[in-house]
Amino acid sequence: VKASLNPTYKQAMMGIGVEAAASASPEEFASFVRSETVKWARVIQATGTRVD
Amino acid sequence: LAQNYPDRPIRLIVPFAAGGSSDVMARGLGKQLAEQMGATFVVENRPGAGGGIAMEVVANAPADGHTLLYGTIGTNGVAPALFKNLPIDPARQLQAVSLLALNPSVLIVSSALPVNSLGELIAYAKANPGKLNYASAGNGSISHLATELLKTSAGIQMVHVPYKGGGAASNDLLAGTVSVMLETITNALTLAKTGKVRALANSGSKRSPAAPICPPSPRPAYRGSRWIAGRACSPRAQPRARSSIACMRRS
Repeated sequence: VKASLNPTYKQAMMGIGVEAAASASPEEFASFVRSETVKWARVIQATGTRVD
Repeated sequence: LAQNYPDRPIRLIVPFAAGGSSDVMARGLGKQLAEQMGATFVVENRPGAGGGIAMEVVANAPADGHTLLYGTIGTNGVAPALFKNLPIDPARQLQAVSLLALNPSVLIVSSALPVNSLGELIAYAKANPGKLNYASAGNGSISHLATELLKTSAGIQMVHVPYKGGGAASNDLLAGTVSVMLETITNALTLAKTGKVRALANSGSKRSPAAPICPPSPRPAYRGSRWIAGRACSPRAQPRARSSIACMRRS
């Protein structure tokens, strides 16, 4: 967590258009991942997206 | 247990080929973690199957915090719903460690289009139904799904034109063959410099310091992000994995 908020790392990430960030806890991150999974599953279902 | 962690090099499994932006980020992170933890990090590239190959490597490794996945919105957020034959269930077989970074996209349009903001684009799409099309890096890519989310939330229609990768898509945007595309910040800003493309908004909830010229989107629902999601955890191995995650999080 400290590593992703390290100023040198943040600066390097900024250079490639990315904002360093961190979760408050593994549980908070797990729940974020769960909500994202649900969100994108809905889009995939609604659009009928398939890949082979 | 945490005192002994790590007791050997830590493998950071990257689900993308060497040299791409995710690989560069993962290697940068590995270097930072190595310095702060006094440990050795070995980055391994295991591309393929929408991240499935990399996730399987991590899920099958001992649950002791020495094998980490550099996961992304694509591998952990999209792949479970998109790939019916994904070899593992990341939500059940991988232990979350931490969010690492957010990677907003920028909505860009061909300069031939008479719009200067996301609001104007939406109004134009409503006034000209069926006229707009948008490019994506391919079926199921985040540039495809996030634009679909934008369409739904704004109540507009745009025809999807899938390409094989972002490079081919942005070439056609430059040529004016397609009108709209969601791109990474870096690529969007490079394309905007040609004058043939206009950057309208970033997909984050606030103005990104990496793209100060782009206002934030009033519709943050299609935010993109990159994550690190570590560790296979069988229930028995959980205490050890937990202590190594605690140790990892202190770094």
